[in-house]
Amino acid sequence: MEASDSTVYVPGPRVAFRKIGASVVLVNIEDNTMIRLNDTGSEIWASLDGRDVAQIAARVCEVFETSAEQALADAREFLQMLHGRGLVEIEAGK
Amino acid sequence: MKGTPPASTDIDDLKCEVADGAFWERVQEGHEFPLGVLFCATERCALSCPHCYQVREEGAHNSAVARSAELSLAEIETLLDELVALEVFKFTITGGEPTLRPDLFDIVAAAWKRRFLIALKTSGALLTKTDVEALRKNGLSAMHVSLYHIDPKKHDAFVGREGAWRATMDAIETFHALGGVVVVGTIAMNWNADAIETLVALCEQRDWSLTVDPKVNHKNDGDERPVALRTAGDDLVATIGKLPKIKGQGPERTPDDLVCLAGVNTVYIRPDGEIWPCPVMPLSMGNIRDTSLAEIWTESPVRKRVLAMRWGDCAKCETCGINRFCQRCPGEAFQEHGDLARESTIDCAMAAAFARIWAETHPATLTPAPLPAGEGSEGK
Repeated sequence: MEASDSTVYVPGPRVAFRKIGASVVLVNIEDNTMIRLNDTGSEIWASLDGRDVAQIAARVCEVFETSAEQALADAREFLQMLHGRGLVEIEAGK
Repeated sequence: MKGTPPASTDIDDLKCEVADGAFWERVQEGHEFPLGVLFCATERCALSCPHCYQVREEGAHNSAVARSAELSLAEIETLLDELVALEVFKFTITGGEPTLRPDLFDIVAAAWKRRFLIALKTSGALLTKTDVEALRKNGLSAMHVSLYHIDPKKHDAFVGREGAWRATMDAIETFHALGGVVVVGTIAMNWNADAIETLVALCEQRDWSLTVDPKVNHKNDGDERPVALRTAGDDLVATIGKLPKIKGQGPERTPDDLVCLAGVNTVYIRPDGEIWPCPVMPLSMGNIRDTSLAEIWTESPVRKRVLAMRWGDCAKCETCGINRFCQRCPGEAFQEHGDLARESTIDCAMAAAFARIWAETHPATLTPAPLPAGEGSEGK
């Protein structure tokens, strides 16, 4: 499925995760990959609640005072990276 | 809320940090509550391993929690919710034999619903292939399995259950084939020391992790019967020499050093909700049926007492010439002497063995003083 700015990502079905302090820690239990997100990544992760890429970028823009273009580029690339690692998937029907 | 602005979109800069050996230490840093808890789902067991530190005799001090007193699934779900609020990530289920609980699959599913990183410590002796598949599907990440010998008859005789070895091996192989993390755990004792090398080779060949501990503790009521299974003296040195990883010389001890991490990065939840600092330190800090875990953690006088333990509390340990090789366990000292601030025979023997191996393999950097009299020949 082709991703766009209206794509809605959700946490992968085999990913354990927890917000610990300011960071989110993820473990893909299929390959035991462990990752800690920084505060930007953690904010994006916390926004995987039904918001699409554009809405998540708007949230990043609001929290981190970055430009809209930069936030959108960051959100797109970051979510595609997580998708490539099996840490998020595209919500069915979205 | 204002955070650090994103520096760039470079994936290497990533907004994330991929794990290495010190990953969990970095995540734990500055976090008040431990990242993981050890939940003993039941102290009932189907096996009768003679080295077990848990007490089974009915009515004995610290005896096993009765089935009727165990936390219900609903109570466990409440506990899981509190653990999420405390930002606990690793949920390890142990026993007794946790697979004796008919609702184990529901407990694992409830933990996975909250996206814990879930591990199960089991003998594996009661698990069928279907059970293992269901546990993995329900979100189980790692299985820690006890294996005491490569010879099925010797393993079965020790654990007191015919067919246990075969079932354990099947469980390990099934879970590994499903992509789960397998950790084989064994205790090196005087009857199975000859099997350690073969176990190490088997685990290497199959890509299973292996932990070998030469330490046999007293039971949690001070009963010393398991002590008779310890390896000692030259045999202990030889056994430790076969381990894949051997403890080297640690940093110099100061009187203010913490003795152990009980009550710091470990929490042990008994089947009835009682909280201990660790599985071999049977001191109740409170019960989650009466008090929240957060309140127990911050207010318990027992935890404060445990946190106050320092290396300098034990004069013998503070001045010991080989204390840099020692992993002093106040829980074991408590069982042996009724005193958290004492040395324990097994820790002294193990430190002596580690120091001897170090001296043999690092002659140029040798610093340990001569071994304390008798500690290299404990139990002889």
